[in-house]
Amino acid sequence: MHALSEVRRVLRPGGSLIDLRPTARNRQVELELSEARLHIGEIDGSNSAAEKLLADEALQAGLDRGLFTVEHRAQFEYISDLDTLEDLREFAAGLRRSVMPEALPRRIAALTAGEREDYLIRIRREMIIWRLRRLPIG
Amino acid sequence: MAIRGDSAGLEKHYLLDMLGGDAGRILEIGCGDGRLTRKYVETATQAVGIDLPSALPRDDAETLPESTQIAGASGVALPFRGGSFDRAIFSLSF
Repeated sequence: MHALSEVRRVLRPGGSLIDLRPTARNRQVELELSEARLHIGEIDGSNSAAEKLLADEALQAGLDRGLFTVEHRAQFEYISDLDTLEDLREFAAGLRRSVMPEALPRRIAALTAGEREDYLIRIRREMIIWRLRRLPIG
Repeated sequence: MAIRGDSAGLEKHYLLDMLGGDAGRILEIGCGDGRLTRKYVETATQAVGIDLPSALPRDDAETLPESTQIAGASGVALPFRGGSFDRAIFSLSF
């Protein structure tokens, strides 16, 4: 909430805050083969659920206090494409709080066995973006 | 081998749509290594990114345009005068 007040302070009257954050939905992992698209599983983001809730509440508090008003809101998918299982492990190693179950790469390995190269690993993350207009207070 | 983030370009599309053309002076809070900054910097008169010092770009990181300023600072005590920016960007990652 204090951070929002600070942002409002440094914005000119009528300026806008663009807020971009993931939704609570876990990242979805898919395997794209030449003949099919398979849903493999999810990357568990529950470790950051409390942090995310606090962030959402802080944003809502800022709106309730009249610091900002919502001008526009949209939802989309942030898609990451990976070529190999090694890429997937590198991706998982870069996650700060989320956890990739070991079953996911094992399942992909089984489905892509035999040095198959015509596949793509796709990770989808649901995102929400807001444009918030700075309001005068009082 | 490769990891291609935002492969459909949707994050860039929506970010630019929300900023609008000619976005003026933009402050990005939590800029990290500039991943998001590179997507909108061309629309800005000037882009300023802040993050905690430990999260800022390394010396060997991909360079940002010269119009971009990066500073180590906290989002709860912004080192700028009031009314300094036309737009602010705040992105959360978990």
